[in-house]
Amino acid sequence: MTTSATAPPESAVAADAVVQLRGITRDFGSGPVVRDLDLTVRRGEFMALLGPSGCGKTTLLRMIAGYLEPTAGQILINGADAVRTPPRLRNIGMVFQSYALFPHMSVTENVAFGLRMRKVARAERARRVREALDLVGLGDLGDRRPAQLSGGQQQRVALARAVVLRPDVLLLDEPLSNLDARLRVQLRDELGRVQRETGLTTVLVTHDQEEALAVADRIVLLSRGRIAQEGSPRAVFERPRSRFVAEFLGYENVFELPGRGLVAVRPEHVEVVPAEGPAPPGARALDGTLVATTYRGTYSTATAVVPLPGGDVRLQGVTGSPEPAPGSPVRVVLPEAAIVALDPEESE
Amino acid sequence: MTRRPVFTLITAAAVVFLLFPIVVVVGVGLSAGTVLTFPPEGVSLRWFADAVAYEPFRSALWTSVVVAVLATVLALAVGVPATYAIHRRSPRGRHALQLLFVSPLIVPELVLGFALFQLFMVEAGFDARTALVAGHAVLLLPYTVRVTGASLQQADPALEDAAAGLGAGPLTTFFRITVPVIAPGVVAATMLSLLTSFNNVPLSLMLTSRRVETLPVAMLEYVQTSFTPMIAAVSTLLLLLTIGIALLTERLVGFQKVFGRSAS
Repeated sequence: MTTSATAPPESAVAADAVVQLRGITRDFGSGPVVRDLDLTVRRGEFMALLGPSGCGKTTLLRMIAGYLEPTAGQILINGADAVRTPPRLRNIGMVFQSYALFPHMSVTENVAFGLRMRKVARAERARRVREALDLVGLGDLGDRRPAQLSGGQQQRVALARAVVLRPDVLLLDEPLSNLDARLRVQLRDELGRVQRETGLTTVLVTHDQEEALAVADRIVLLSRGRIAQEGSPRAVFERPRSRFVAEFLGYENVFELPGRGLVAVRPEHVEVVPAEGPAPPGARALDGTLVATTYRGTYSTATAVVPLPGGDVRLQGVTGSPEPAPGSPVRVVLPEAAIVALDPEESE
Repeated sequence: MTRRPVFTLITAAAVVFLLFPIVVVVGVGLSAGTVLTFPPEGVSLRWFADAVAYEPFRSALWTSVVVAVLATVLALAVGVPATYAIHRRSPRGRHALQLLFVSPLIVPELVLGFALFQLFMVEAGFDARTALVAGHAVLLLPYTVRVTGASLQQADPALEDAAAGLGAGPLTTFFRITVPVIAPGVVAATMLSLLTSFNNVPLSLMLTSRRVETLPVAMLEYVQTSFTPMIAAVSTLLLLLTIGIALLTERLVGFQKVFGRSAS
């Protein structure tokens, strides 16, 4: 979406577009949080809006849901202008970070609430609620109150409450951030399963790249209110375009490599070997001095300082045993395949 | 109960210290004699009968009930929407507003009473009952704002957004979501307000007239001239009524909502 050259013609996009954002800006009064942003959510896709806190991802989600109006720009839902449509008239399912379950209602009543508001007849309502609860594996907890459920169960109720409406888009606002690590992985996989089974168009907001990589078909990485990069998880993860994207995705070594310009290399791909070690074929070798090593169990990480024409550079890598001693001369080996060239003009 | 005998002893002493005077009052009220002494001279219900039949107490009780109910309704009518606005709409100067609504708590009640006396009875020419209702409403505002505020603060602000996203309009959201969520807080505020108004003396003292007085003021006036066990009997009745309201509150919402758990 960043350049018109790669975007298909407008009409082709519209055919499978559920949500289209055009030139969206949102300013809360202290500078724009979302800046002139274009984004299309396609039918049936699982999109992850990824970025650090303050990048505008939640603001963007709240504008799609209708809780916030953009300061400027257009929002089309199923091709129709929706900028002034209130949330209750948009057919959108949202799972809140806090779940926002109604504490005075049972699980069944929570899930049935949206259907009630839509005046769905009692028999069909009961059937759809049962279906939704079965989908998230809570078929037998319908009579409980939210306070009687664990965090993971509450999260599933929130998901069922959104899914039961068969919304045009399912919006997930950091749905896993309040869960502990093990449960997070389990529910993450379950989110993926529910999305596949229902085929619902889904937008997940998260700051956790692992989460985004694991479940999404498409990642949109945001930085300071703009799209820094978008594409399939593999394309974004393996080919970061800018310094910001590379650093956000864990490329700790971003530096000017003589003859190659600005590059990024993941530390797990860098080998730090004793200076007299052989330079393997298909790799760049840089000589420097070891600063420190850290024992990590199955391997050790090493930090080396390498003098380059532009000045000294600190590089992170892994080292085998025996570990070279700090202060000793080392060779930093960068496999060609692991070196990603960045666009030095791109600041975000 | 424990292996800390000193602690247990101090606790027991404190309980006796707090409760013994009440035992004395109840005992004296049950006296068959004519003077305030403890232990009582014989046991009878004569002073209870006298207290119930005593016309100034009867009319004062009626005034107290009317004032407590009307002032509570008034304080809730102003306080609940104000709290809602402060917590959910985050208006400009919300902290100043919050402070304003709890300020009657820090102004000495006699000062507040005198100020309201000047304003309501001298300047505006209210009669005593109207002045009492208005004055008590001011007194109760902090309680309604604080107690309903506490339950609103505990509630997830995303609840209303969630309801809207599920298709509920503003009125449906308010009555189906917001009201049930803050209902325990409103009940607690109601009970606390009734008790506070009913037991108030300093403010009532400034706002009563010779013909319209609240029960505590009538009792105060009575002990200045007479010294019979009747005052102990009416005190006991007042105590029972207060305990009744407190127990009802506990049954309805639990004390934690009224007095807060730790710092809420």
